[in-house]
Amino acid sequence: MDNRWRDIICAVLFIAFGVFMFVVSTGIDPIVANDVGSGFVPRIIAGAIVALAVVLLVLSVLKKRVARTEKADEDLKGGVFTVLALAAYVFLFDRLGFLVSTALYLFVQMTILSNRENRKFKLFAVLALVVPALIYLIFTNLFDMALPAGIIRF
Amino acid sequence: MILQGILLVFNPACLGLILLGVLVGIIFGSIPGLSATMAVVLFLPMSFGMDPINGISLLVGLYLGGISGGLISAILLKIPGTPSSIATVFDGGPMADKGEAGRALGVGILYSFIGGLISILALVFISPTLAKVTLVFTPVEYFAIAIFSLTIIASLSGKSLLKGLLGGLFGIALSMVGMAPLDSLTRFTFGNYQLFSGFDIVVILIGMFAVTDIMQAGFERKHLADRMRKTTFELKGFGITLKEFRGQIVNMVRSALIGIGIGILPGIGGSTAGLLAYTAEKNSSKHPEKFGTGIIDGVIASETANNAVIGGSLIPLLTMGIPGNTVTAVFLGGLIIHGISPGPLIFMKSGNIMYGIFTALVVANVFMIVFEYLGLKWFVKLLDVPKHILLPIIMVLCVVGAFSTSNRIFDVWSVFAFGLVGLLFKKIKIPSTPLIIGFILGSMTEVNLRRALMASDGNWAVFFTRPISLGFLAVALISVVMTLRKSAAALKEEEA
Repeated sequence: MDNRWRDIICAVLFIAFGVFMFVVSTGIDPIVANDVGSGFVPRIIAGAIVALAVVLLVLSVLKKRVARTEKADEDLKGGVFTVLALAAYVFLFDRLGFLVSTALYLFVQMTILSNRENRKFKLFAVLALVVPALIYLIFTNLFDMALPAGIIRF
Repeated sequence: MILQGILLVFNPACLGLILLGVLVGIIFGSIPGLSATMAVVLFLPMSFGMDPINGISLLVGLYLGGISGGLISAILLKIPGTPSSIATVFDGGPMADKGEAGRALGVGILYSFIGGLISILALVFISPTLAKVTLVFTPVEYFAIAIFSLTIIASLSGKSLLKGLLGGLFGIALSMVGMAPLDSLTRFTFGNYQLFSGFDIVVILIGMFAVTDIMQAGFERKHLADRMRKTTFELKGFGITLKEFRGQIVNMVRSALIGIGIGILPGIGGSTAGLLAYTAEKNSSKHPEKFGTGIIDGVIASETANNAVIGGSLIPLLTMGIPGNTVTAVFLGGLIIHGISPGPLIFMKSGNIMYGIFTALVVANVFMIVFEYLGLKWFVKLLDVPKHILLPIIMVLCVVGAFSTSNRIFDVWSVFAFGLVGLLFKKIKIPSTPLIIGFILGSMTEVNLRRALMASDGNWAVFFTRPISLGFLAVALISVVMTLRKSAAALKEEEA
């Protein structure tokens, strides 16, 4: 994806967002006498977003095509797995409780981010058990803040 | 009142918390990706349960330590530990290459201390006066200040002004979710009651910075281990002679003033202060060509200025309730939770606490110089923890931090969602700082605009007839014009 297309996509996204925001805020009428209402500033902001995004769109469409492409060095798998691991972590956070979900997440995330040379499962497993326990103890005892206990209580 | 304030701090619990804050702050500051902001964000919920002065002292220690820790990785790894230390890399990095890492660190630490101290003095002596001046401020003036601060987004936008502005506007839009000011109408909640109170700044910060970071690390996992290298250093004294110190006095004072000034002005932040001071010192130096080759002048300018921002940024926060950067925005939350409302009346309403905060700052500054000096060997070791182990642990802490803001899983999902937004922003090359500043200033702008217009019966002329308001709007206009010209020049350069 070159710079030009990236900017065009960016502009289109913002135009869509701005139009949507404008439509929603036109439905908000002033209630308090003398006040411009809670829809006034949102309409200005939405208008400004659309205006600037249109400028960006025009500028990037007019821009000469540069034959510079992004280096495709990205590791798509690593990124997608990380996003999925995070989503699973949040999903399980209160269902399984802090200790279990965090232990699972730490192990999986460390495995995703490591490479063949530094992938030490034993170390990951120890950390995945010790770190959540430490955090849990510090938070619940020292700072008196509750974390979801889930299936393990102590 | 002054003595009472000082005494508030000098008890074992409070001193212990400052100590803890400074230590944790330095660790956060020195790890790239972990920032002073994150340290303060992470500990904010914990400070809620403490005595006001204890909780705030902890935050003060974290802030000061966090800004001061950035120089360690900036010099040793050439990666600024915090954005504030960007300019420290320019000369600190080459000094380390020449085998002068110890000297660069020593000088950096010493001038961080001096910069911090000068700005604390400024805070103590300027803020009561400034507080009096701000008493005459009405919504009209506050609106003008908000507009002025918003224009600074433009200069923070990096390469593309348009995209920076779009990011800033998106931030303002986000600030409007939930209950509206004045008429308490719920808007943009789409029937979800969890959104009634809007988004928390903490949630957006953790999402856009930490979560985005780890997702990004996933995409770049092949290179995660690349930048690791073992580090060594040695140091005698602070690495600067008395003669050299005398030669640097002008540099020191100017950099400190730049830092304080930038700190006072909302929305600019430590990274700009360091860069500005560095540029100013380079331009007035007799040997500008030596900058970037590893001379102490550059390290001194950057480190004095970024620490001077601390005292400077607390001036508008405490006297007007305006957070100048993300750390002070979080601070604001911490103060309000403890029933301290920053503003012109703060010296009357919470005088003890004010002087307590001043004392905590001085104590934290002393702790900082002692610990950075003694602890450098160990801080360096922490940087050796492999990223694939460090990042997941940081992520867990952030999720805990997000959950703790209001004990609901919704905030954890929000953090995840903002992580995705941050990732999208990275992909379409939109800087995330404007969004944060837009979010912070959005509601201030709207509330004061509507209040001012209500008072003036909808007459927009009030913003131009009141002198202070007119002044801020004029400066805002000048700043926009200057940024536009700079941006146009940069565009031409790119095309050429």
